[in-house]
Amino acid sequence: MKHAKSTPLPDKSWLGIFGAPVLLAALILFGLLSALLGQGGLWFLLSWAALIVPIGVIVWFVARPMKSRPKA
Amino acid sequence: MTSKSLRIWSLTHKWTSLACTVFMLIICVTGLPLVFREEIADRLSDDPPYVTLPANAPRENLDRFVEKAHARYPNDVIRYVFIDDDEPKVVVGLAPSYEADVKFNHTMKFDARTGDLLKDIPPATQRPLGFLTLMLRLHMDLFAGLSGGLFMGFMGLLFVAAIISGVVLYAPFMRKLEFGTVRSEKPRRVKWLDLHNLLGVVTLAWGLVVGFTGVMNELSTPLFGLWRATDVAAMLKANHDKPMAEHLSSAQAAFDTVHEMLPDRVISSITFPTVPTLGSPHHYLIWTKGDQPLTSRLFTPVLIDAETGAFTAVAELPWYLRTLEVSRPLHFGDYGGMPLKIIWVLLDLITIVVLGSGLYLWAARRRAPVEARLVEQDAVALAPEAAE
Repeated sequence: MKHAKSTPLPDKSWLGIFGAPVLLAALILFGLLSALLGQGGLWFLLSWAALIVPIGVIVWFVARPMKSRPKA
Repeated sequence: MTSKSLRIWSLTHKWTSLACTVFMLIICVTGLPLVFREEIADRLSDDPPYVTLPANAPRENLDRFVEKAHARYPNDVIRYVFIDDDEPKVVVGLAPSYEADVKFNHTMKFDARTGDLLKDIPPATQRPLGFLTLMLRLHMDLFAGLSGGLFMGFMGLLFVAAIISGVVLYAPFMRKLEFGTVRSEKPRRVKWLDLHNLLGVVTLAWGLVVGFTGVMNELSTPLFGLWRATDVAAMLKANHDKPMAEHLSSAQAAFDTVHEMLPDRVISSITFPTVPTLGSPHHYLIWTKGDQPLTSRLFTPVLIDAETGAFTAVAELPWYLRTLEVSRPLHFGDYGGMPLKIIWVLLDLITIVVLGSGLYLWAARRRAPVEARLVEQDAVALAPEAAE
């Protein structure tokens, strides 16, 4: 998709801006509570899995432009 | 968002952040080793190892520890007996007098099964400052006691306000950008703005939880003080004129009484009769807890008459102390094994990058109002699309 500089992009919707952050926040809260309220075992695993996702998301987006830089 | 409210949020984010950033950096850096304080304490410990006994080896009568402590320190008073449920350990805390400040407390560590004294530990005032204590004091109160703690608590509140205002500002700054955009080919300032926004917004729930629970922890002393001044004072009213209990009944018997009454509770410590600011002059306070990740953080003291050994009352903690108790694990990250501790450290490191990049963005700021910066922001936002 191409946009001339003279026709600005439309503003993104609230969901477009906050959709991903809200999902990640929900995942973090689930991760924090599952280890605390669950009875160990599976709930610990779910907690670790949920909390590693936001860290993975950051690594993904930070590493991505570095990889694509030679092409740009 | 109107330009007026945008400017107010922008100023809020700038000043709440600037006021707390240096202190938050101290808190985040000292917090890193504190996540592993149990492991570090074990590693640094020069305590003699426990003798190997069968797992079901019987435990020594608690009164023996009390007798040994009295025999060694006949002029001191016993403050508490702590019964560990992790190691076979019983710790007796003593003080020079009933009125002495808790910093003069000294402890005797025993093997819970053999009853042997493992270590006689002098009060903190006579010990060299250990690494973990140094980290904890810098983290909690900058060596300034209660006022330092309240100050750090206020910094934590500013941090929470900075996160919230940061999230509000995230919307106008991202209105033309895809989530996760890092414009690494742009000037360094733009790249760091993107990183600041990405790292901040992705970890915001963790930042809010750890920030708020940190503030709660700083309020621990005043909240327990409030409880003693209200609920505990009311409960002890009947004994108001009674002098300090002198001829103490058996601590083991008090333990057994509570254990029979509340068989599913774990007894973690016994506070001996003391001045009203630390406990009850006339009772043993038997501190009980549950055995699940959450309930093991929720303590309920049971009052046992220290002279007759009779059950007096179960002192349910008020909601604000329950909130404080739940705040502790959520702040420390010590309730989900080693993987959770490592995740805590990673999120702490990310927070340090958010704080540092925020400081950089302020130092390298354009001396232009927020609206002008937004117009510029949108202009740059178009560029990557146009280049494709």
